[in-house]
Amino acid sequence: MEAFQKIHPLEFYRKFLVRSVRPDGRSLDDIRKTTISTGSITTADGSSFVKMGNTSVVCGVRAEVGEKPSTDKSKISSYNVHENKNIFINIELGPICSNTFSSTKPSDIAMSLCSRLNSLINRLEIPETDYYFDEEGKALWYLYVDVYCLDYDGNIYDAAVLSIISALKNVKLPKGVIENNDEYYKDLESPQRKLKIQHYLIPLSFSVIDDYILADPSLDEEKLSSGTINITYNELNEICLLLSTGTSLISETNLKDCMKKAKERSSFIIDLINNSNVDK
Amino acid sequence: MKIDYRCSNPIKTTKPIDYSVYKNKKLSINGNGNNNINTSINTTVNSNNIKIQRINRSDEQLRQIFMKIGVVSQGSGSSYVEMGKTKVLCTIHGPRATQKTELFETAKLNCELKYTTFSSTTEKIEYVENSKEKDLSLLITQSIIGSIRLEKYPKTAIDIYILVLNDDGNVLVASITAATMALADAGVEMFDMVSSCSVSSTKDNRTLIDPTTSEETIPTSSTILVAKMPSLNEITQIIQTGELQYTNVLECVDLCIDGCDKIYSIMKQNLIDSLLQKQKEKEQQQQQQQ
Amino acid sequence: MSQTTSTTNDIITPGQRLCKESDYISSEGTYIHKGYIYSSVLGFKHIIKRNINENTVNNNNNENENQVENNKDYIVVLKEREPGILPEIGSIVTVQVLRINPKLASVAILCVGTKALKETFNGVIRIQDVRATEIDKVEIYKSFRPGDIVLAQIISLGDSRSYYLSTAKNELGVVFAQSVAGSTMIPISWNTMQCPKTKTKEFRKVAKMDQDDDTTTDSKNE
Repeated sequence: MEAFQKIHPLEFYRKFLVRSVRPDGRSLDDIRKTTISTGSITTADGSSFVKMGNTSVVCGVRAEVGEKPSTDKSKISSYNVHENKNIFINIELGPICSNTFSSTKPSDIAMSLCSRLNSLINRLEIPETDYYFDEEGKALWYLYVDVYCLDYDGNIYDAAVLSIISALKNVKLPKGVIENNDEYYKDLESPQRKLKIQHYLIPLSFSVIDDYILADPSLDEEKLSSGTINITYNELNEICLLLSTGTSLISETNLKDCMKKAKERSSFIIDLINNSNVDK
Repeated sequence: MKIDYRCSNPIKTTKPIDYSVYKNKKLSINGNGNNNINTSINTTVNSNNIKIQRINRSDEQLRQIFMKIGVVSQGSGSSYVEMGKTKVLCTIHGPRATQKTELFETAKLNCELKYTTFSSTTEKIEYVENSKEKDLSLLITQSIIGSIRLEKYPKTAIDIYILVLNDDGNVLVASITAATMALADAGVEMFDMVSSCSVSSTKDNRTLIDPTTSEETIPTSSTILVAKMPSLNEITQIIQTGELQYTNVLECVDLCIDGCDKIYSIMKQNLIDSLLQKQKEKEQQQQQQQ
Repeated sequence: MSQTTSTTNDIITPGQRLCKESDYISSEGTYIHKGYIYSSVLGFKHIIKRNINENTVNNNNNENENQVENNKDYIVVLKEREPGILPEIGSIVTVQVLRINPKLASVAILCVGTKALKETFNGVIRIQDVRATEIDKVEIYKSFRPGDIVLAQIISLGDSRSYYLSTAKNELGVVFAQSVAGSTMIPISWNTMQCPKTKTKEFRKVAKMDQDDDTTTDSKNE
């Protein structure tokens, strides 16, 4: 069995797919068990740990303080894209999570994922006043969100999105004090505040093998697939991101099915995120 | 050359410093220097003038240790170790083929330790490997290389990757423990498991076993780390930093050796339990199939 | 070599002292240090009884040694999972042909025995190791093509880059190959395979499939 899977992985999978099951026992639209826990990393300003089947990621937020970007347009022309942006997302796919990644160079997957997540997070519409360091907003908090993959077993996109949204909801910012005009201090004794994040993000990804569409693909399935579909909804059932890549063509009915499945997941995910705090 | 492309923020940002530190400093500048002399036996002051006092734990007591093996499905072996708030994950790849073209009669052991960027409250950690991480990686390699039967695996490499998720002191001990547990999980043949323990000794004659970050940063203290193979009764590494009396060194080493034995028995018990657990799961699966 | 095993439920951790050196013969998963046998892996302890009849037949040459060790059993610590499986000299491996040139075929080792490797190792089948007879007439192009799945045996650790493999046995050689048309070919003789679609014949060093191969695949499925 093992040898057959290694030599002819695609044939091996087809044998299962014709019976509408997958080698790990799931049906085609079964999603692996998902768990979220937040606040377990004490050194971070906000953190979360997400596990989907074997895939697991940990996400930590560092809050740093910096000047308010100058409103003078001519000065920041080259950085126009980053205007009014206070959240920076980075994803690390290191050798710790899979033997395919090296530690010296970030992989292509990580880079493309990183830019996709950064554009997605702008949809959260967090008011600028939330980032104010002091009362008047002379300086702003900048949040560096780092996602570390601990176990790479497919569908890293979903796990990353869930970890980012739950870590951001876990962020607690202390009150800031500015002394001597440019010395920044945080007052840990005063009560801390949270970011006002109204929105949720509900991601679901699919892999296409032959004519079969597999929800929440594992690593083996992703390797064999000829196409991927990423769908992300918010809690109002609005599409935040829909991406279909690969060489396979997807029929409209199939795509609608996928979107329906993603929508069905929203209440479950919202509950999961709301009940994720380990402190409670 | 490694290039850090990842930080795209054009605005320079810093980590704000604790306000209470600032207030303390201001106080001491204003002539209230008497504060520092008031150190009683059970309290020591660290660099930030915060008093060290162990709550619910004596000076010779280890923190709660939690470990688990087989946590990463993609590696040949893996482990997760928690010592108090210090959290470390370790994955092993291999024995696998080397990319290097030289011929090895024995396996080559590589170790790479990385802090996550959010793992420390005291220092800023970049995405690229810094010299501290390089140093720790080397120390871990030296501690465990003697325990592995490298001659059993010619032409291969064993790669150890360690990720520090949360740094609350004693990272080196947690990492060595994690690496050894992961090697046992991977089924790599070894002479013995390496367990380690460290002690921080302060100027006022307190010896703090298993120090936390705030205890490690006491400026006048010195630390001793011992890594050993308890079953063979061989020491693989002793590191001492800072100034210590000769008798104190011996005392600390003895204390470390005691700690090593304690950690070793925890490791051993954990391996036995996890294998039993695995066996049970296997039997259940077989029953289900029948 | 061994016939009977007595399994205990003793779980052994690496570095655990098992017994005196004189009590058992140290075997897999154990080592000898200062007169004692220690375990080197995590696993279960097994005592494997030596089959005396078989030994006397097989090892006539060194009888003296046998008489000393005959009454001793092997001690083995077996781990439950074996990710550390490595290609060793003499082991039968399943490989995929990557590149060929007139002197040799470069291959990737996929499986050792019936166990799949996590990551592939590189190997080489040199022209003199393709078959046992008429070595001077062998042509690599008529033996292997890139993409073929081949059964081979490891003959040496080789150079720094790759293991040296041999197919110079009847049961070794190509077991699976695709024709130019893309369908799986059927072996028709020891050196030709035929495409079921186009009926064209292609040359290969074909492995002789016998019942022995079937029994091994059956046992591993259980």
